[in-house]
Amino acid sequence: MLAILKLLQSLIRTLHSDGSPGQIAAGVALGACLGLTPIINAHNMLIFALLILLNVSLGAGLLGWALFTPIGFLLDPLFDKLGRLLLLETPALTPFWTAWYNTPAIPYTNFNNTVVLGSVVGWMILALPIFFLSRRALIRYRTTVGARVVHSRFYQAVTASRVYNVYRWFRPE
Amino acid sequence: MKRGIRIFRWKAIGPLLLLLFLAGVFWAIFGDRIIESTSAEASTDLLGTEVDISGMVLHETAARVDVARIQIADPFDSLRNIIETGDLVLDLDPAALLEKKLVIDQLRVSHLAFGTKRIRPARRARADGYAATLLGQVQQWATQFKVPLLSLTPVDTIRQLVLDPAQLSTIREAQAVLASADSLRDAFVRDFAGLGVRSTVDSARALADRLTGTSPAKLGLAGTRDAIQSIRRTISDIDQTRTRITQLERSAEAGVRVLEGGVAAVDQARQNDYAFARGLLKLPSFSAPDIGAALFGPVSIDRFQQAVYWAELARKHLPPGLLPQVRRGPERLRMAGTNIEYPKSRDFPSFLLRQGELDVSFNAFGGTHSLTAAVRGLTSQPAIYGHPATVAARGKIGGSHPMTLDAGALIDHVGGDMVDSVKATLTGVPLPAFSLPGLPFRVDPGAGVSGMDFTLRGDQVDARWTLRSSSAAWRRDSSAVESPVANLIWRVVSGLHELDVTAEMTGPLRAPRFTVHSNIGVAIADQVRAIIGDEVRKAEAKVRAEVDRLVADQVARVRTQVNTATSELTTRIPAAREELDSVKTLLEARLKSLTGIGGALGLPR
Repeated sequence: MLAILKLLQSLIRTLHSDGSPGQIAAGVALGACLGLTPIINAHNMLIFALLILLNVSLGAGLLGWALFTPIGFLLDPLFDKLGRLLLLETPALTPFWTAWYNTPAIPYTNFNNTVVLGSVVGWMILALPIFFLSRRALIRYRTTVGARVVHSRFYQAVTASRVYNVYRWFRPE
Repeated sequence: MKRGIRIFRWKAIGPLLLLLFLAGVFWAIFGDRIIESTSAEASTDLLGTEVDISGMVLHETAARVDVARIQIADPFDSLRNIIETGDLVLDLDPAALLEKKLVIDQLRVSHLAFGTKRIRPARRARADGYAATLLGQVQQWATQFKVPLLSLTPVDTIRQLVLDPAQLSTIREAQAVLASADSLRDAFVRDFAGLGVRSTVDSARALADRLTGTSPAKLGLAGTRDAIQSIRRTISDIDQTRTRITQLERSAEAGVRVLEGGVAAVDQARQNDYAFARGLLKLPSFSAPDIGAALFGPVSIDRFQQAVYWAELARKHLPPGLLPQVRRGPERLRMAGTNIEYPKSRDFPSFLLRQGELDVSFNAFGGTHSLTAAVRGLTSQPAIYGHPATVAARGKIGGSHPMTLDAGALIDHVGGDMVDSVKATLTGVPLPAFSLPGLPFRVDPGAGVSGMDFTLRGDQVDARWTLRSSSAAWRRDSSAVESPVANLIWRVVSGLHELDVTAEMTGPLRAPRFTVHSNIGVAIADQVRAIIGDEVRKAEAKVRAEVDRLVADQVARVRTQVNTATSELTTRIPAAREELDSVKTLLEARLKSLTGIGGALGLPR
């Protein structure tokens, strides 16, 4: 329940005042990686670290993660095909993958798995469209219904919660 | 003044470090258990049978793993472990670990047991996994060996023999041969007529008759030239006809061979029909190999089936060559996908057990046991390692039934034909008692020698399973109905204390030859022959007579048709060739008489 509340708070605050549309869109694009690719993998540790260390919206990152997780499940067969194409059906890449697979530390990326590689490549392809689309959608939201939401009782109630303070540590500056 | 957007959120470093610290604590608490369950799951998937691992402790800084216990369940018996080991120490190669590869420099085991009972039944392998599929295939493969049933049914069932001609393959085969003979004969007659032998001979003979008594002086220069040209043209026609006859002769000979093959097939079909009709009567066999197979076939096939399963599994997981290897991805909520391994020469294989050793001596179960075993070069990529994997084990097991074990195995997938072999002998083993199928007897072989010598080279199998004992004891089932035949057999076998069984499997793995030799089979066969041999022979004669009665007409027709067709084929051609030769000789004589002067006159040649 606490997690849901926190997510809701971060969503509301993210949409309204924390950070520029660019910071929020970058957060969504990075969070999309957590949702689109299998979570327990080395590249997601890096993405998570970037979400925390870079001056992007962490709330937007969590939002992106939540939004893109079901999409990731749906797209898994496609990612599997993409990964298979790159790993098995493109002989020109075999020397590259052989070197990759036999280099210290690199195999822990699990990029020799069709779904992991396919989903990471899929996210790379989708990252920029996600960034631009979310930025555009946010600007449109703020200029249309955003002002009315700020004055609603719901918004006041959500932002008044003390839990929100934890989130404020990571809001964009 | 507007402040520029900063890229880094420096104040987040603290929480990030805290998160890393918490992750470290989590690993310290749960890391061993995570690796333990992952290893058990991966091994279960790999071997197709439940592998239980407990008490795993990782020593990250020393690159060492301690395991308290490993149990590998028998895929053919869910209540038994094939092997159970305890107190294992694995020294790992840290450089290989950096590449996410498992290279075990040294494996030390201080406890080992075979065939232990399980408290709870082992889980089945995942139905869509390779191991489960292979298990199904091997079980299907084992069904190809038709083990005869030992039957001592009273022989007077001959009276009930009713054969349907449609069931007999002889009749079907005979009809096919008759059709073939008819079409062959028709084709020959048509082709022979198409040669025009008669017209060629007639026109040649007419030319020869016309030139009889003529000479160049009578014909004149032009007449002689015309006559010579006519003779040469006709001789050329004869030669062409002769060439076509030779071609027809070749195809006729091939046709005759087909018919002869058809006759042989009919004879073979008749033998098959005898066997089929005999099978309907369920006549007891007095063939010692049949009886041996009936008695010991199932148990020996079971042993070979297990050996084939493990050999095929080794071939799947330890393949030759350096091609990318495809394996199923890890189980997770998301789609598992496929893991691809890219072997590279002069690098670490994904898995390698360089050396494993067991040298233990311990007291347990009322005896002193000692066992030494060594495993070398067991790897998932033999082409990288470059040497075959070997396993050797030798030891003594004390207690109420002292046993000695001597075993060796070789897995050579380095290059060329794959070779998988195992040779094991267990001396002093208490052999399990078993009932003789079809007879109310039970034999307890006592302690004896059990041996397995199995080699799979490419797709050729050469396997032998032996069982020997000199202290067999017999027991009769007192509740079974008394039968004179069983009584007589009992008199012989109950005096047998030697038990000697050899089951062999040789040939292509897809369909190998399977035979069983046993001294009990020979003894029973002799008895069956002595007791009911005459009756069985009489019954067999009746079976043959019944089959002969049903197929006699068809077989006789086949022989007549084939003989007619063959004689037609073999007599017409020589006769035609003789006629052509005789008329050609006649024409050549005429030509000689005309060209004797013509040559001097410069006539055309």
